Amino acid sequence: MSAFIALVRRDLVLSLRIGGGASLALVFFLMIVTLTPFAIGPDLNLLARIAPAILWIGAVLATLIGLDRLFQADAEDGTLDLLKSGQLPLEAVILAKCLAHWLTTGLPLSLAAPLFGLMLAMEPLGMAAASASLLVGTPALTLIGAVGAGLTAGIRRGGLLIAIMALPLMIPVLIFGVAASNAAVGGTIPFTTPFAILCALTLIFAVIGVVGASAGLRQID
Amino acid sequence: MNPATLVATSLTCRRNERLLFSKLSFVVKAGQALALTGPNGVGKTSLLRILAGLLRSERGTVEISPHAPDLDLPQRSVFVSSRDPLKGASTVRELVSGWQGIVFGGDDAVLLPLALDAFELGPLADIPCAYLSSGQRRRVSLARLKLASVSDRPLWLLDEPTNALDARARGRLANVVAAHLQDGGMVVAATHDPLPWPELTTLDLAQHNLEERDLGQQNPGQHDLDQHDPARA
Repeated sequence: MSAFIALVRRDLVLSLRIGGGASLALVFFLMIVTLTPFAIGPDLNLLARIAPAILWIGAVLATLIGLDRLFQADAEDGTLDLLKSGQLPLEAVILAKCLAHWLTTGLPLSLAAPLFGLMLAMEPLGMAAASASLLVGTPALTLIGAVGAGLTAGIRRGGLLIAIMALPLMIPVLIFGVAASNAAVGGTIPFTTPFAILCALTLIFAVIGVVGASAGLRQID
Repeated sequence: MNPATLVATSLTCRRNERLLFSKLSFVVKAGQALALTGPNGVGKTSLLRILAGLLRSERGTVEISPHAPDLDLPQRSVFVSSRDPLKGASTVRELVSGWQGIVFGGDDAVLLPLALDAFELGPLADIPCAYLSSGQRRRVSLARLKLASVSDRPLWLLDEPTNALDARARGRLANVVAAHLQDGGMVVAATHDPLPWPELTTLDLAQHNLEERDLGQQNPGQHDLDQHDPARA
Protein backbone atom coordinates (compact mmCIF):
# COMPACT_ATOMS: atom_id res chain seq x y z
CA MET A 1 0.00 0.00 0.00
CA SER A 2 2.84 2.38 0.80
CA ALA A 3 4.33 1.65 -2.64
CA PHE A 4 0.99 2.57 -4.23
CA ILE A 5 0.89 5.86 -2.35
CA ALA A 6 4.54 6.55 -3.19
CA LEU A 7 3.79 6.09 -6.90
CA VAL A 8 0.75 8.39 -6.75
CA ARG A 9 2.80 10.99 -4.93
CA ARG A 10 5.65 10.74 -7.45
CA ASP A 11 3.29 11.23 -10.39
CA LEU A 12 1.57 14.16 -8.68
CA VAL A 13 4.89 15.86 -7.93
CA LEU A 14 6.12 15.34 -11.50
CA SER A 15 2.94 16.63 -13.14
CA LEU A 16 2.75 19.68 -10.88
CA ARG A 17 6.43 20.47 -11.27
CA ILE A 18 6.63 20.32 -15.03
CA GLY A 19 3.64 22.67 -15.06
CA GLY A 20 1.44 20.54 -17.34
CA GLY A 21 -1.21 18.53 -15.53
CA ALA A 22 -3.57 20.36 -13.28
CA SER A 23 -3.35 23.95 -14.46
CA LEU A 24 -3.27 23.17 -18.17
CA ALA A 25 -6.41 21.00 -18.21
CA LEU A 26 -8.24 23.53 -16.10
CA VAL A 27 -7.34 26.42 -18.40
CA PHE A 28 -8.38 24.35 -21.43
CA PHE A 29 -11.72 23.62 -19.73
CA LEU A 30 -12.16 27.32 -19.05
CA MET A 31 -11.44 28.12 -22.72
CA ILE A 32 -14.14 25.76 -23.99
CA VAL A 33 -16.70 27.06 -21.51
CA THR A 34 -15.84 30.68 -22.35
CA LEU A 35 -16.00 30.17 -26.10
CA THR A 36 -19.55 28.81 -26.05
CA PRO A 37 -21.40 31.99 -24.96
CA PHE A 38 -19.47 33.91 -27.61
CA ALA A 39 -20.56 31.43 -30.24
CA ILE A 40 -24.18 31.17 -29.16
CA GLY A 41 -24.87 34.75 -28.19
CA PRO A 42 -26.46 36.25 -25.09
CA ASP A 43 -29.49 33.96 -24.93
CA LEU A 44 -29.40 33.10 -21.22
CA ASN A 45 -32.23 30.54 -21.36
CA LEU A 46 -30.56 28.62 -24.15
CA LEU A 47 -27.19 28.78 -22.38
CA ALA A 48 -28.66 27.51 -19.12
CA ARG A 49 -30.35 24.64 -20.97
CA ILE A 50 -27.19 23.43 -22.72
CA ALA A 51 -24.80 24.29 -19.87
CA PRO A 52 -24.46 20.73 -18.51
CA ALA A 53 -23.66 19.48 -22.02
CA ILE A 54 -20.98 22.14 -22.47
CA LEU A 55 -19.44 21.38 -19.09
CA TRP A 56 -19.36 17.68 -19.87
CA ILE A 57 -17.93 18.06 -23.38
CA GLY A 58 -15.32 20.38 -21.91
CA ALA A 59 -14.48 17.77 -19.29
CA VAL A 60 -14.20 15.00 -21.88
CA LEU A 61 -11.82 17.05 -24.03
CA ALA A 62 -9.79 18.31 -21.07
CA THR A 63 -9.33 14.74 -19.82
CA LEU A 64 -7.57 13.85 -23.06
CA ILE A 65 -4.82 16.30 -22.14
CA GLY A 66 -1.94 14.43 -20.59
CA LEU A 67 -3.37 11.02 -21.45
CA ASP A 68 -0.87 10.49 -24.27
CA ARG A 69 2.00 10.82 -21.80
CA LEU A 70 0.29 8.76 -19.06
CA PHE A 71 2.39 5.67 -19.81
CA GLN A 72 4.46 6.82 -22.77
CA ALA A 73 6.90 8.89 -20.72
CA ASP A 74 7.64 5.89 -18.51
CA ALA A 75 7.83 3.50 -21.46
CA GLU A 76 10.36 5.69 -23.25
CA ASP A 77 12.86 6.20 -20.45
CA GLY A 78 12.74 2.64 -19.13
CA THR A 79 10.81 3.46 -15.95
CA LEU A 80 8.10 1.06 -17.11
CA ASP A 81 10.58 -1.85 -17.04
CA LEU A 82 11.47 -0.86 -13.53
CA LEU A 83 7.80 -0.68 -12.49
CA LYS A 84 7.08 -4.05 -14.13
CA SER A 85 9.82 -5.66 -12.05
CA GLY A 86 8.74 -3.92 -8.86
CA GLN A 87 6.74 -5.11 -5.90
CA LEU A 88 3.46 -3.65 -7.23
CA PRO A 89 1.44 -5.67 -9.75
CA LEU A 90 1.12 -3.86 -13.09
CA GLU A 91 -2.62 -3.37 -12.46
CA ALA A 92 -1.86 -1.47 -9.26
CA VAL A 93 0.71 0.64 -11.10
CA ILE A 94 -1.94 1.58 -13.67
CA LEU A 95 -4.53 2.35 -11.03
CA ALA A 96 -2.05 4.59 -9.21
CA LYS A 97 -1.14 6.46 -12.38
CA CYS A 98 -4.83 6.89 -13.28
CA LEU A 99 -5.54 8.18 -9.78
CA ALA A 100 -2.74 10.73 -10.10
CA HIS A 101 -4.04 11.77 -13.53
CA TRP A 102 -7.57 12.19 -12.17
CA LEU A 103 -6.33 14.18 -9.18
CA THR A 104 -4.68 16.66 -11.54
CA THR A 105 -7.45 16.85 -14.19
CA GLY A 106 -10.84 15.41 -13.21
CA LEU A 107 -10.88 16.60 -9.63
CA PRO A 108 -9.96 20.27 -10.28
CA LEU A 109 -12.42 20.27 -13.18
CA SER A 110 -15.26 19.04 -10.99
CA LEU A 111 -14.45 21.52 -8.28
CA ALA A 112 -14.26 24.41 -10.75
CA ALA A 113 -17.48 23.41 -12.52
CA PRO A 114 -19.82 25.54 -10.33
CA LEU A 115 -17.67 28.57 -11.05
CA PHE A 116 -17.81 27.94 -14.78
CA GLY A 117 -21.53 27.16 -14.54
CA LEU A 118 -21.97 30.75 -13.42
CA MET A 119 -20.73 31.88 -16.83
CA LEU A 120 -23.35 29.67 -18.45
CA ALA A 121 -26.26 31.06 -16.39
CA MET A 122 -26.85 27.80 -14.50
CA GLU A 123 -29.10 27.62 -11.44
CA PRO A 124 -27.35 26.83 -8.13
CA LEU A 125 -29.01 23.40 -7.96
CA GLY A 126 -27.91 22.65 -11.51
CA MET A 127 -24.34 23.68 -10.67
CA ALA A 128 -24.27 21.36 -7.68
CA ALA A 129 -25.65 18.50 -9.77
CA ALA A 130 -23.18 19.11 -12.59
CA SER A 131 -20.32 19.25 -10.12
CA ALA A 132 -21.44 16.02 -8.42
CA SER A 133 -21.89 14.20 -11.72
CA LEU A 134 -18.45 15.34 -12.91
CA LEU A 135 -16.95 14.22 -9.62
CA VAL A 136 -18.17 10.63 -10.03
CA GLY A 137 -17.99 10.57 -13.84
CA THR A 138 -14.54 11.95 -14.61
CA PRO A 139 -12.70 8.94 -13.10
CA ALA A 140 -14.42 6.83 -15.76
CA LEU A 141 -13.10 9.19 -18.45
CA THR A 142 -9.54 8.82 -17.18
CA LEU A 143 -9.86 5.02 -16.96
CA ILE A 144 -11.26 4.74 -20.50
CA GLY A 145 -8.42 6.89 -21.73
CA ALA A 146 -5.94 4.67 -19.89
CA VAL A 147 -6.80 1.77 -22.21
CA GLY A 148 -5.93 3.93 -25.21
CA ALA A 149 -2.82 5.21 -23.46
CA GLY A 150 -1.72 1.66 -22.67
CA LEU A 151 -2.21 0.52 -26.24
CA THR A 152 -0.34 3.49 -27.73
CA ALA A 153 2.45 3.79 -25.14
CA GLY A 154 4.94 2.28 -27.57
CA ILE A 155 3.99 4.60 -30.44
CA ARG A 156 5.66 7.97 -30.86
CA ARG A 157 2.67 10.10 -31.80
CA GLY A 158 -0.19 8.26 -30.18
CA GLY A 159 -2.09 11.29 -28.89
CA LEU A 160 -4.68 11.49 -31.65
CA LEU A 161 -5.05 7.71 -31.71
CA ILE A 162 -6.01 7.78 -28.05
CA ALA A 163 -8.69 10.38 -28.76
CA ILE A 164 -10.10 8.30 -31.62
CA MET A 165 -10.13 5.13 -29.54
CA ALA A 166 -11.35 6.60 -26.28
CA LEU A 167 -13.98 9.16 -27.32
CA PRO A 168 -16.57 6.63 -28.60
CA LEU A 169 -16.25 4.70 -25.35
CA MET A 170 -16.85 7.89 -23.40
CA ILE A 171 -20.32 8.38 -24.93
CA PRO A 172 -22.25 6.43 -22.24
CA VAL A 173 -20.52 8.42 -19.52
CA LEU A 174 -21.35 11.65 -21.36
CA ILE A 175 -25.01 10.68 -21.78
CA PHE A 176 -25.61 9.78 -18.15
CA GLY A 177 -23.48 12.63 -16.84
CA VAL A 178 -25.51 15.22 -18.73
CA ALA A 179 -28.75 13.38 -17.89
CA ALA A 180 -27.94 13.52 -14.18
CA SER A 181 -27.14 17.23 -14.36
CA ASN A 182 -30.39 17.93 -16.23
CA ALA A 183 -32.53 15.74 -14.01
CA ALA A 184 -31.65 17.82 -10.96
CA VAL A 185 -33.29 20.96 -12.36
CA GLY A 186 -36.41 19.43 -13.90
CA GLY A 187 -37.63 16.66 -16.12
CA THR A 188 -39.45 13.47 -15.44
CA ILE A 189 -36.72 11.22 -14.04
CA PRO A 190 -35.27 11.62 -10.55
CA PHE A 191 -31.63 12.72 -10.22
CA THR A 192 -30.54 9.48 -8.55
CA THR A 193 -31.35 7.23 -11.54
CA PRO A 194 -28.79 8.55 -14.06
CA PHE A 195 -26.44 9.40 -11.19
CA ALA A 196 -26.42 5.79 -9.98
CA ILE A 197 -25.79 4.55 -13.51
CA LEU A 198 -22.91 7.02 -13.78
CA CYS A 199 -21.42 5.63 -10.56
CA ALA A 200 -21.84 2.12 -11.95
CA LEU A 201 -20.09 3.11 -15.19
CA THR A 202 -17.12 4.42 -13.23
CA LEU A 203 -16.88 1.17 -11.28
CA ILE A 204 -17.16 -0.91 -14.46
CA PHE A 205 -14.45 1.09 -16.21
CA ALA A 206 -12.25 0.85 -13.11
CA VAL A 207 -12.02 -2.84 -13.98
CA ILE A 208 -12.05 -2.65 -17.79
CA GLY A 209 -9.65 0.27 -17.89
CA VAL A 210 -7.07 -1.31 -15.62
CA VAL A 211 -7.23 -4.73 -17.28
CA GLY A 212 -7.21 -3.22 -20.79
CA ALA A 213 -4.30 -0.91 -20.08
CA SER A 214 -2.25 -3.69 -18.48
CA ALA A 215 -2.88 -5.93 -21.49
CA GLY A 216 -1.59 -3.11 -23.71
CA LEU A 217 1.46 -2.41 -21.56
CA ARG A 218 2.43 -6.07 -21.37
CA GLN A 219 2.78 -6.10 -25.16
CA ILE A 220 5.60 -3.56 -24.97
CA ASP A 221 8.87 -5.37 -24.73
CA MET B 1 20.65 -17.76 2.82
CA ASN B 2 20.89 -20.57 0.27
CA PRO B 3 23.22 -19.76 -2.59
CA ALA B 4 21.19 -18.89 -5.66
CA THR B 5 21.65 -20.36 -9.11
CA LEU B 6 20.45 -19.14 -12.48
CA VAL B 7 19.64 -21.89 -14.96
CA ALA B 8 18.77 -20.90 -18.51
CA THR B 9 17.67 -23.80 -20.67
CA SER B 10 17.38 -23.83 -24.43
CA LEU B 11 16.46 -20.16 -24.86
CA THR B 12 15.33 -19.03 -28.28
CA CYS B 13 14.74 -15.43 -29.26
CA ARG B 14 13.14 -14.09 -32.40
CA ARG B 15 12.60 -10.39 -33.00
CA ASN B 16 10.73 -9.19 -36.06
CA GLU B 17 10.82 -12.66 -37.64
CA ARG B 18 14.62 -12.68 -37.35
CA LEU B 19 16.14 -15.49 -35.29
CA LEU B 20 18.68 -13.93 -32.94
CA PHE B 21 19.78 -17.05 -31.10
CA SER B 22 18.41 -20.48 -30.39
CA LYS B 23 18.95 -23.34 -27.93
CA LEU B 24 21.07 -21.20 -25.68
CA SER B 25 21.67 -22.90 -22.33
CA PHE B 26 23.90 -21.82 -19.50
CA VAL B 27 24.24 -21.83 -15.74
CA VAL B 28 25.39 -19.04 -13.47
CA LYS B 29 26.10 -20.09 -9.91
CA ALA B 30 26.20 -18.00 -6.78
CA GLY B 31 29.21 -15.71 -6.73
CA GLN B 32 29.75 -15.91 -10.49
CA ALA B 33 29.57 -13.23 -13.15
CA LEU B 34 28.85 -13.77 -16.82
CA ALA B 35 29.80 -11.30 -19.55
CA LEU B 36 27.72 -11.41 -22.73
CA THR B 37 29.71 -10.30 -25.73
CA GLY B 38 29.20 -10.17 -29.44
CA PRO B 39 28.65 -7.60 -32.19
CA ASN B 40 25.77 -5.10 -32.15
CA GLY B 41 22.39 -6.65 -32.79
CA VAL B 42 23.39 -10.17 -31.86
CA GLY B 43 20.77 -10.26 -29.10
CA LYS B 44 22.61 -9.35 -25.89
CA THR B 45 19.93 -6.94 -24.69
CA SER B 46 17.15 -9.32 -25.72
CA LEU B 47 18.79 -12.08 -23.70
CA LEU B 48 19.03 -9.79 -20.67
CA ARG B 49 15.35 -8.89 -21.05
CA ILE B 50 14.45 -12.58 -21.22
CA LEU B 51 16.45 -13.24 -18.06
CA ALA B 52 14.70 -10.26 -16.44
CA GLY B 53 11.32 -11.76 -17.30
CA LEU B 54 10.40 -8.74 -19.42
CA LEU B 55 10.57 -10.53 -22.76
CA ARG B 56 9.25 -14.00 -23.38
CA SER B 57 11.61 -16.56 -24.82
CA GLU B 58 10.10 -18.37 -27.76
CA ARG B 59 11.14 -21.62 -26.15
CA GLY B 60 13.08 -22.72 -23.11
CA THR B 61 13.01 -21.68 -19.49
CA VAL B 62 14.76 -19.36 -17.08
CA GLU B 63 14.88 -20.48 -13.48
CA ILE B 64 16.39 -18.95 -10.40
CA SER B 65 16.71 -21.40 -7.56
CA PRO B 66 15.96 -21.53 -4.71
CA HIS B 67 12.42 -20.75 -5.73
CA ALA B 68 10.61 -17.92 -4.02
CA PRO B 69 6.97 -19.00 -4.16
CA ASP B 70 5.42 -15.54 -4.10
CA LEU B 71 7.89 -13.82 -6.42
CA ASP B 72 7.84 -13.91 -10.23
CA LEU B 73 10.95 -13.82 -12.39
CA PRO B 74 10.94 -10.00 -12.76
CA GLN B 75 10.96 -9.70 -8.98
CA ARG B 76 14.08 -11.87 -8.64
CA SER B 77 16.52 -9.59 -10.45
CA VAL B 78 17.65 -5.99 -10.73
CA PHE B 79 17.77 -5.05 -14.41
CA VAL B 80 19.76 -1.95 -15.31
CA SER B 81 18.92 -1.34 -18.95
CA SER B 82 20.88 0.91 -21.27
CA ARG B 83 18.17 3.55 -20.89
CA ASP B 84 18.39 5.62 -17.73
CA PRO B 85 14.94 5.89 -16.12
CA LEU B 86 15.54 9.42 -14.87
CA LYS B 87 12.91 12.13 -14.57
CA GLY B 88 14.31 15.53 -15.42
CA ALA B 89 12.11 17.34 -12.93
CA SER B 90 12.94 15.30 -9.85
CA THR B 91 16.16 15.47 -7.86
CA VAL B 92 18.49 12.51 -7.57
CA ARG B 93 17.44 11.93 -3.97
CA GLU B 94 13.70 12.00 -4.80
CA LEU B 95 14.25 9.66 -7.72
CA VAL B 96 16.28 7.05 -5.87
CA SER B 97 14.00 7.24 -2.84
CA GLY B 98 11.05 6.81 -5.23
CA TRP B 99 12.58 3.64 -6.70
CA GLN B 100 13.06 2.34 -3.22
CA GLY B 101 9.52 3.16 -2.09
CA ILE B 102 7.72 2.14 -5.28
CA VAL B 103 9.79 -0.66 -6.75
CA PHE B 104 12.01 -2.33 -4.18
CA GLY B 105 10.52 -1.58 -0.77
CA GLY B 106 12.56 -1.77 2.41
CA ASP B 107 13.85 0.76 4.86
CA ASP B 108 14.38 4.24 3.44
CA ALA B 109 16.69 5.42 6.20
CA VAL B 110 19.16 2.56 5.74
CA LEU B 111 19.11 1.88 2.01
CA LEU B 112 19.01 5.39 0.57
CA PRO B 113 22.35 6.61 2.01
CA LEU B 114 23.88 3.27 1.01
CA ALA B 115 22.71 3.63 -2.59
CA LEU B 116 23.77 7.27 -2.88
CA ASP B 117 27.14 6.50 -1.33
CA ALA B 118 27.92 3.54 -3.60
CA PHE B 119 28.38 5.75 -6.67
CA GLU B 120 29.34 8.97 -4.90
CA LEU B 121 26.01 10.64 -5.55
CA GLY B 122 26.00 12.58 -2.29
CA PRO B 123 27.07 15.90 -3.87
CA LEU B 124 24.48 15.45 -6.66
CA ALA B 125 21.61 14.40 -4.40
CA ASP B 126 19.69 17.66 -4.58
CA ILE B 127 20.26 18.45 -8.25
CA PRO B 128 17.38 17.87 -10.70
CA CYS B 129 18.20 15.00 -13.04
CA ALA B 130 17.81 17.24 -16.09
CA TYR B 131 21.14 18.89 -15.27
CA LEU B 132 23.20 15.70 -15.01
CA SER B 133 25.82 14.60 -17.54
CA SER B 134 25.43 11.21 -19.18
CA GLY B 135 28.04 9.63 -16.93
CA GLN B 136 26.29 11.04 -13.88
CA ARG B 137 22.94 9.76 -15.18
CA ARG B 138 24.48 6.33 -15.55
CA ARG B 139 25.73 6.44 -11.97
CA VAL B 140 22.25 7.36 -10.72
CA SER B 141 20.85 4.49 -12.77
CA LEU B 142 23.30 2.03 -11.25
CA ALA B 143 22.55 3.24 -7.71
CA ARG B 144 19.39 1.10 -7.67
CA LEU B 145 21.58 -2.00 -7.44
CA LYS B 146 22.12 -1.18 -3.80
CA LEU B 147 18.40 -0.85 -3.05
CA ALA B 148 17.56 -4.55 -3.27
CA SER B 149 18.67 -7.26 -0.86
CA VAL B 150 20.66 -10.21 -2.19
CA SER B 151 18.18 -12.80 -0.93
CA ASP B 152 15.20 -11.30 -2.81
CA ARG B 153 17.01 -10.31 -5.98
CA PRO B 154 20.17 -12.40 -6.30
CA LEU B 155 20.55 -11.69 -10.02
CA TRP B 156 21.88 -8.43 -11.43
CA LEU B 157 21.39 -7.84 -15.13
CA LEU B 158 23.50 -5.01 -16.49
CA ASP B 159 23.24 -3.69 -20.04
CA GLU B 160 26.48 -1.96 -21.01
CA PRO B 161 27.04 -0.85 -17.41
CA THR B 162 30.35 0.89 -18.07
CA ASN B 163 29.06 3.14 -20.86
CA ALA B 164 29.85 6.82 -20.20
CA LEU B 165 31.44 6.02 -16.83
CA ASP B 166 34.82 7.51 -15.97
CA ALA B 167 37.65 5.39 -14.56
CA ARG B 168 36.73 6.23 -10.98
CA ALA B 169 33.08 5.24 -11.44
CA ARG B 170 34.13 2.02 -13.19
CA GLY B 171 36.21 1.21 -10.13
CA ARG B 172 33.21 1.90 -7.92
CA LEU B 173 31.08 -0.40 -10.08
CA ALA B 174 33.71 -3.15 -9.87
CA ASN B 175 33.68 -2.83 -6.06
CA VAL B 176 29.88 -2.97 -5.91
CA VAL B 177 29.80 -6.01 -8.18
CA ALA B 178 32.57 -7.75 -6.21
CA ALA B 179 30.66 -7.18 -2.96
CA HIS B 180 27.49 -8.59 -4.54
CA LEU B 181 29.32 -11.69 -5.76
CA GLN B 182 30.90 -12.07 -2.33
CA ASP B 183 27.40 -12.11 -0.81
CA GLY B 184 26.42 -14.98 -3.08
CA GLY B 185 24.78 -12.90 -5.81
CA MET B 186 25.00 -13.41 -9.55
CA VAL B 187 25.74 -10.90 -12.31
CA VAL B 188 25.08 -11.08 -16.04
CA ALA B 189 26.37 -8.12 -18.02
CA ALA B 190 26.23 -7.30 -21.72
CA THR B 191 29.37 -5.45 -22.62
CA HIS B 192 31.88 -4.43 -25.26
CA ASP B 193 34.55 -3.46 -22.71
CA PRO B 194 36.78 -5.84 -20.81
CA LEU B 195 35.42 -5.96 -17.27
CA PRO B 196 37.89 -6.20 -14.37
CA TRP B 197 35.50 -8.26 -12.28
CA PRO B 198 36.24 -11.37 -10.22
CA GLU B 199 34.79 -14.77 -11.18
CA LEU B 200 33.96 -13.56 -14.67
CA THR B 201 33.29 -15.94 -17.55
CA THR B 202 32.39 -14.87 -21.05
CA LEU B 203 29.59 -16.00 -23.32
CA ASP B 204 30.05 -14.88 -26.91
CA LEU B 205 26.64 -14.96 -28.59
CA ALA B 206 28.10 -14.78 -32.10
CA GLN B 207 30.29 -17.78 -31.26
CA HIS B 208 27.26 -19.63 -29.91
CA ASN B 209 25.34 -18.97 -33.11
CA LEU B 210 28.23 -20.33 -35.19
CA GLU B 211 28.48 -23.47 -33.08
CA GLU B 212 24.74 -23.88 -33.17
CA ARG B 213 24.73 -23.67 -36.96
CA ASP B 214 27.55 -26.20 -37.30
CA LEU B 215 25.83 -28.55 -34.89
CA GLY B 216 22.59 -28.21 -36.78
CA GLN B 217 24.37 -29.16 -40.02
CA GLN B 218 26.17 -32.13 -38.51
CA ASN B 219 23.35 -33.73 -36.52
CA PRO B 220 20.04 -32.30 -37.61
CA GLY B 221 18.19 -34.58 -35.19
CA GLN B 222 20.17 -33.91 -32.02
CA HIS B 223 19.49 -30.29 -31.18
CA ASP B 224 18.37 -30.89 -27.64
CA LEU B 225 21.73 -32.27 -26.58
CA ASP B 226 23.44 -28.94 -27.06
CA GLN B 227 24.75 -27.56 -23.79
CA HIS B 228 26.67 -24.37 -23.63
CA ASP B 229 27.88 -23.99 -20.09
CA PRO B 230 30.33 -21.13 -19.56
CA ALA B 231 30.57 -22.01 -15.89
CA ARG B 232 32.19 -25.28 -16.93
CA ALA B 233 34.15 -23.90 -19.87
